[in-house]
Amino acid sequence: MLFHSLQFLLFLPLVFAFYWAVVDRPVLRKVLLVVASLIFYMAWNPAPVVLLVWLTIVDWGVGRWLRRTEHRLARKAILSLSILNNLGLLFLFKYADWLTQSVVDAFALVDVHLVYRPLGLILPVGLSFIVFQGMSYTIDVYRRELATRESWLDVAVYMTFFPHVVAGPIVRASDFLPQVDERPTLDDARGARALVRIATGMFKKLVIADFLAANIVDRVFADPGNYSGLEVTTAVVAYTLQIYYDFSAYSDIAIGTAALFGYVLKENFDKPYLSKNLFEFWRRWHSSLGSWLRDYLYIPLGGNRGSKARTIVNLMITMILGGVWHGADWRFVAWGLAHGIGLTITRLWWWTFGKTKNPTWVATALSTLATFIIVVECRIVFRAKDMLHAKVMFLEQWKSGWTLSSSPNLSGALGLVLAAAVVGHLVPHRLYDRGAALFARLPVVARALVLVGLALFIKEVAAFEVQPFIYFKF
Amino acid sequence: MEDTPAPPQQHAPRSTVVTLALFLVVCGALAAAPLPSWLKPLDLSTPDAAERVARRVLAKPKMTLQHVEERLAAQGGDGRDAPEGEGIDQSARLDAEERELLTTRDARADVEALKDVALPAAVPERPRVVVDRAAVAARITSPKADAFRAQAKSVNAPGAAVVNPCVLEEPAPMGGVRCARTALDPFFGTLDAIAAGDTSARAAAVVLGNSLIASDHVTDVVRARLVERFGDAGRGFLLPDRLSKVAGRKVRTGEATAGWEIQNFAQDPPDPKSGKRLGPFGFTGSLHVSTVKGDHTTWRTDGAARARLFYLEHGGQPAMRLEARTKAGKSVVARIEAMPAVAPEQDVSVDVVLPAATRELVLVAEGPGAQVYGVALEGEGAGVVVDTIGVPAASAQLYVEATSEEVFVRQLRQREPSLFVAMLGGNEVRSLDYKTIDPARFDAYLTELLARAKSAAPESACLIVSPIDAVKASAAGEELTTRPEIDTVIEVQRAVAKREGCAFFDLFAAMGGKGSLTRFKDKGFLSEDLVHPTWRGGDVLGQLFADALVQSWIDTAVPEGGIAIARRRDAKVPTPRFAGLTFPSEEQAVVVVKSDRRDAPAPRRPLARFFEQLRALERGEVTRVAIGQLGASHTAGQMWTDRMRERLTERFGNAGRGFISVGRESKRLASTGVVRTLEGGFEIADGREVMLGGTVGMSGTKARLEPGARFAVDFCGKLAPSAAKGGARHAHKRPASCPEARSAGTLQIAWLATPDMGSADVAVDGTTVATISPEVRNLDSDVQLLRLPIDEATASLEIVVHAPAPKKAHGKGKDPEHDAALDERFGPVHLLSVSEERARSGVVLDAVGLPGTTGMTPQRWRQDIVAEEARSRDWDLLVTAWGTNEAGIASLDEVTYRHHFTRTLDTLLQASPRADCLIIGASDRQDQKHGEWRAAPAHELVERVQRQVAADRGCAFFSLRTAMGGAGSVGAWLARGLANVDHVHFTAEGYAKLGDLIVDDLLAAYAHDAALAAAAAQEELARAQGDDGNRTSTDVDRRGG
Repeated sequence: MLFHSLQFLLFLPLVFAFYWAVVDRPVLRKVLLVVASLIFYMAWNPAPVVLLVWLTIVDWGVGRWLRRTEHRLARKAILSLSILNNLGLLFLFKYADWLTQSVVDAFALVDVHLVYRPLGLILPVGLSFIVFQGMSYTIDVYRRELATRESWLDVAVYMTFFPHVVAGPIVRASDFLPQVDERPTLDDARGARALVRIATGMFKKLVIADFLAANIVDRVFADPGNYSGLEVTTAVVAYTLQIYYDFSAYSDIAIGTAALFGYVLKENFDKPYLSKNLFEFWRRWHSSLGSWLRDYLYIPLGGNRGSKARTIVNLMITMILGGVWHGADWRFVAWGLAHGIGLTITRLWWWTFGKTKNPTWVATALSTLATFIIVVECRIVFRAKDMLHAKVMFLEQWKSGWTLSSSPNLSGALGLVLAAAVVGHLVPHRLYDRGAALFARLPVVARALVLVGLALFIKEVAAFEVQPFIYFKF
Repeated sequence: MEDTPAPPQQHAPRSTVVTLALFLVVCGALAAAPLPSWLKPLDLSTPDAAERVARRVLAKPKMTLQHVEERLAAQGGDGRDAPEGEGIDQSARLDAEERELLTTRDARADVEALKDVALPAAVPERPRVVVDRAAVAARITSPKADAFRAQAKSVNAPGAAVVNPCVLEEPAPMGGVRCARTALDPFFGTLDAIAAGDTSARAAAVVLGNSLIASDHVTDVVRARLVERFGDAGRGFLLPDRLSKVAGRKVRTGEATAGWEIQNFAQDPPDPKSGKRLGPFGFTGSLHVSTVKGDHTTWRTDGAARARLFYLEHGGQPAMRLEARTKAGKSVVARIEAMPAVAPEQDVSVDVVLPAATRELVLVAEGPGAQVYGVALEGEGAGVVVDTIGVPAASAQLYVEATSEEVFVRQLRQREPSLFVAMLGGNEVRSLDYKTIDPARFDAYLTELLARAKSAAPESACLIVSPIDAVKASAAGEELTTRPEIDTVIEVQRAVAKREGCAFFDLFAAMGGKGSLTRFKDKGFLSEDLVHPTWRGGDVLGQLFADALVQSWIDTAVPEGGIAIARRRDAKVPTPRFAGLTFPSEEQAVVVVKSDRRDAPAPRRPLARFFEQLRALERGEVTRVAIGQLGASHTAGQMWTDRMRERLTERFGNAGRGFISVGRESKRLASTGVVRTLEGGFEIADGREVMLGGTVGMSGTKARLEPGARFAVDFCGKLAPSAAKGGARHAHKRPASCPEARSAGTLQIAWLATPDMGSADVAVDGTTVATISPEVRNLDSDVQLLRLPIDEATASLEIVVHAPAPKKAHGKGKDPEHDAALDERFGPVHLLSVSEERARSGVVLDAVGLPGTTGMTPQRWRQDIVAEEARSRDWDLLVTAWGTNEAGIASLDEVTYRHHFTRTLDTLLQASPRADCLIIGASDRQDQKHGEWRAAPAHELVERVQRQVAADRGCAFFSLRTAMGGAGSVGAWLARGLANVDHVHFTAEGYAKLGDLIVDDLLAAYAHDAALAAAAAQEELARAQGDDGNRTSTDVDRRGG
């Protein structure tokens, strides 16, 4: 189900009402959440729900088995089952065809022609997020950082909870499961803030992200040759903003919706385009993925505890695998690699010259701008349909046509939305918090009217065609 | 875990629940209330709107990428069967009419519905006359060719074959596939035509290259060999002079005076401070600019019959004149006036017919600043024209980046090539060495160059020729080593040729590959710069190229279906440059020549009768010329035909709005002041929903009005805002039938007699003037026509179906017999259309469109109704505008489509015995597949069939895709805000541009037709005067019109 759909508009109040009606009956409450989550998930395609349930059963079973096993090697073997199950399914659905095809292509280069019939499996929505969450549970149990859950229902609530099941944020078991036990609460202020958060997400998605997609990004990326250098460059920057507003919108709605049910999900974004270097960027961008990779991949690989060379190798492995997590395509390898190289260069710089303690505002501005440009240019590979297309996009930015007169697609409305996107990124958190607090202080009638007004505004200015969230495909 | 109730908590989400509930209640109330749309989060105010919302709620969400959705859909059927508007929140911004127009329907429904209709056993084959290419080639021997071949042998040049790939396959009758067209067929077809004796055939090649051919080396031999075999059709395109004042031959240029300044795209741009600039350059990559009064240039004409001068019109341009010089003297054949200091810059051309025995054509600039691209000289007879354009230092990048795309395309289009040759790569070899370009960029530039050529001449063949051996010399200059980068260049060229459907000739391999230039040097075939061949080397290379081309012509199998080629029209009257208009019945499929046609009287020219009617209209001999355009959503959307109507009525006068189908309120109609209203109980029959024998009118619809229902049309309604989306502006024009320009006329109502029908009052401007009833009907047909004379004040029509008076409290039930009699008397009325015409001299254009239909759809309807309604409109020109929907059917069968489309056309033509016909082809359309926009799968098939049908039925054909800029042009239209994001439909501006393209061509063809008629009249006059001195000039004037 899409958050910004009519279905969800009816689904949410219904589930919300039932949930709070049975909130004091823990089992019923959890059953309701799991059933609602599965319905939410099945609205797209019922088949993968089997996979989802299977993953919860295996991870729950592995957790129980680990609790009863003390032998170190046996525990490792049991954990491997979970990892194999999670990553195996992910590999099968996401990477098998791609990797096999890559091998076939590689052999073809030396004139050895293998015959391969692709499996053609469809990647279930959200699988990449779900398996990471499942592994987070079993690894934490293995590390004895989290108590085993005896009830399958608890694990099922954690893994299927509908606000995050499709596109994150990637919730850590150690953050979420303790909340499952507690009787949820939702006071007036938190409820109001949750509604503001959802409304903010809707606005970001429908007014900014979809507008940018429909009015510049999609058309330019589809056929860059038709557009001037200025238009192509604008499209690249616009895509950078679009993907932020799209994904952070999803996170906003997920966090807001979870809050309506008394759950707290961790923040996923913190104004990433104001980062002064790529390390900071990765702390601010999709931080639930960044921290997952750090805790479950980078640190187990040795992190930065080994030699400098080993640190760089660990960094590169983490970034390349992080890139591949986004999709089975060499573009994502290239994207991860590019970020890995950027991080390595930053790391080498720090090792050589040390970190600047108190940079001047000029240095800060320059490093922020440089970081933004690197992120923007890397986004081309991320968005283009293949590497050749990405190359064309890179080159097309430098062709002639850097005047507004030769760029008819740069309309005033587009400029306005781009400006709004930039300003929206610059607005300090405290202003947003003040706005939310103001909303919370309004009488309920006024709150409802504000939301109706916002709905009318969004309906009036939103792009014609509603786009799915970008991160659904990962 | 125990499910025991926990103690009540202090924090309850009461306020949040109330907020949410209030939000939903207010939204629901606004949605259901009769408020303006901007105050409605959703529209639930009508059952239809509520149903749409319900469909959206129940629809499966579009949660992932298109190709995944398609694969998912494929698991349970076909993606096209998915619910309409799935996942697309259209209703939020579009009303029902816009949704209807923008919804892409599954046009395969037509194939499904018509599958049981028997098709003819086989398409009748035309008699064929196959040209024996080998025999033609063998008939001519050339001593020079033999000498050049001997020289080639002396340098061990083995020659090479042209790679001529198949670019279009078709199912073979015995199974499998066969080639329907090779890359070079368009050119070879013209050669065949010449060989078959077609005196109007012209095989034109345009060769773009670099310094290798700048002095017409290499290409001169190719031209000579082709001319030896196929004849000379003129010198072709010639520059004003050489591109260097000191070097090169003048064989392909004029002889200019010293004052002319030479500009070409390889020059360094001038200092911006100087105020000077280069270009804009077209396909020649160069410009000559006069610097002093009297600068002139002289071209040898070599018997040319006509010339076309290409120049840049700009502010401050001096006057120019073209003089034709004969032995007897000179005469000014064209004069180009000076332009004011402030005038828009545009590349233009001027056509002149050269007087007999013209030896030289002289262009004189009467001041500085004349900017001239060159002149094209062509003869009258059949033959070959080879334009050689070679610019020193040229590369694919320069041809793409340093020329103006518009000028390039416009100029190349005027050369009407049947072969476009790119002889580039030599400079790229060095650029790769110097790392100033990489293979990917070279690939991209070459691809773009071909795209522009295709855009200019979509029907042309294309050929890429590799560079010759490129070498580096040792320090002593003795040892030459082939540059390794040449392999990369050739690899890219091969790949591009394969991808773009072009032929490829490896000149490097033909001359002997690596090391061949050393042998050329040893034989004195290489100039001292170690780059360019000497003229003798050029001869050898040219012979290798010519032999390969001619051999490819001989070796290539002639496609079964023949090759259709453009036939040149009357050479004495220059043919206008059409954007998309063609006359297929005047084209000749060379290998499919009907032998009995040659002695038969010349067929009537397509559109000739229509043009004659227009001339009669202008002479005041007739008062009405009617055009009926039938089509799908492009036509149903009105904007296209609105523009055509606007343009045509501006020129010829407005004789009324014409046809209006009966239907709901339409914003598109309202945007031009025609307000349609349909109220009460009604049901609209949809011709797309029926399988066979649908009882609908020619528009594919019929409105069943229940008793009490009301249909009204206000022909002078208040102008409504445009229904166009995205802020697109639509030109509002008050209809000419409104008070300021009104006159008396006729209203025609078409309705259908049915057994259950009731009766209705017909009111004009509020006064009941007639009654529709079963008693008053024409028994010969179910289609009933009511024609009402109207006066100049008439602005509205209203039809109200009779209904029983409101029943009194105890009315019904007391007397059942009486009630039954009442029910019998009151019944529905089935309306088809209304048409408004005014008794003013002018044009009426009927727009008869139904979204989602194809040229086959009308075969699903009752033919008698379609024909009768069409007959009632008495058209002078029948236009069909189907094609875009069927172009999207990957499984479209050619025989089926040809059969049903022909029958549709025949039905309409038989109902319109006075009408000429114009078939408008499919617009360029792309479908999204796996996240990429791809060309519609059946476009070629649809266009081929429509052209064939046009040829068979003597219709003109307008290629909408060609006019748009060729395959893939919808992307460019989208970029310019002319096309809709669905890559199928257009914006208001786009439709207006389409209208302009068609009307421009029609008016140009009309003017051309008039010129032809005048020329014929003059000839007739001359003959008459010669034959019979007594005949008076009055007789001739009358005939000539």
